[in-house]
Amino acid sequence: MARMTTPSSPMALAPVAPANEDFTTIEVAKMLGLAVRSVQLMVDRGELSAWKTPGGHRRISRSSVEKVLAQRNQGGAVTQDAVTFAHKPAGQPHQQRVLLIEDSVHYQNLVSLLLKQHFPQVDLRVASDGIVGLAMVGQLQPDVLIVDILLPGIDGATLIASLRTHPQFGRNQLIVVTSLDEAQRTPYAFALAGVPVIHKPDIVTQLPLLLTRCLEQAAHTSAA
Amino acid sequence: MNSGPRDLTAHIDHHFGGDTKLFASFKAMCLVQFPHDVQTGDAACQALDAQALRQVAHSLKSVLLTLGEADLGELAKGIENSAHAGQLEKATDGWRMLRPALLALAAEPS
Repeated sequence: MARMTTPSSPMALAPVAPANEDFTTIEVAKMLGLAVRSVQLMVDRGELSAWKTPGGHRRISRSSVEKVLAQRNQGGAVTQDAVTFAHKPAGQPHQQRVLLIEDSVHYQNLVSLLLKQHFPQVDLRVASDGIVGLAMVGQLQPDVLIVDILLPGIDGATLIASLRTHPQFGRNQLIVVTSLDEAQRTPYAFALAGVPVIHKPDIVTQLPLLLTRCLEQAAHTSAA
Repeated sequence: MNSGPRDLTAHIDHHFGGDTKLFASFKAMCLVQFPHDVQTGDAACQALDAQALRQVAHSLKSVLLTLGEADLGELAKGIENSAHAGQLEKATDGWRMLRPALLALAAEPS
């Protein structure tokens, strides 16, 4: 999100202790004996706690890794579940897929918690910026897109307008989540017409019902 | 600036449908991330990067409101608006007030 800078500024800001006790995704993959992708999925599903460095690199908290290791030692199913989730064999019934395009780690975490709680069968993928998100839409063909408006790369409204130029986008259900109030959304109105918009402070109470409808609509469209 | 227990209960009822477990899980994750948000905001201030400061304040505004920290959410909103208007000095002044509050939250037992 922010550029990395040198500490030569005249600002006298107290330093924050670096959280160098946490791990990279690759380190956690080695520790758990999993593919990097499986670890990413565990983060997406809220099974591991992650944060991002100012340079945008993901770090996974030591405590959450230790928790998974402890559960494994006790015969817990968290890690195995993630592996199964990541390597679902072809030919199984269609697993509905949701793509969240959101740069805030906080809301990535909250949406992961909500989906884990209300839609444990859904395959949640996450993109942290608009350009990656746009690429992932084509690659993953998600049933439902949950898109933030203010994103690095390209903003969510431009992303939506771009997707609408592709015929296959008609199969995707769309939900917009935003911290912008109604007045602040005005510049993006060109892309938001007819799209359900959730104000982020209301996401817990509004997303489950809206996502239920979108998943049902996606299943209906897929079956037609 | 923290909400009292009664206010917090009302907040969880209103914004989390009364799901205290979900609220606690989300808050615990936020506390892990806040120190890194502070690093991001500090880097933006040091680089005189108003857009980067706007982004971090914009994100924090909603997160703090979602956590029931309305006063801090308003502070973040002020930083966002100042940064968006190119008033970097005002935004930076706001950031100097917000960052210790974030670190204090992060230091709370989860």
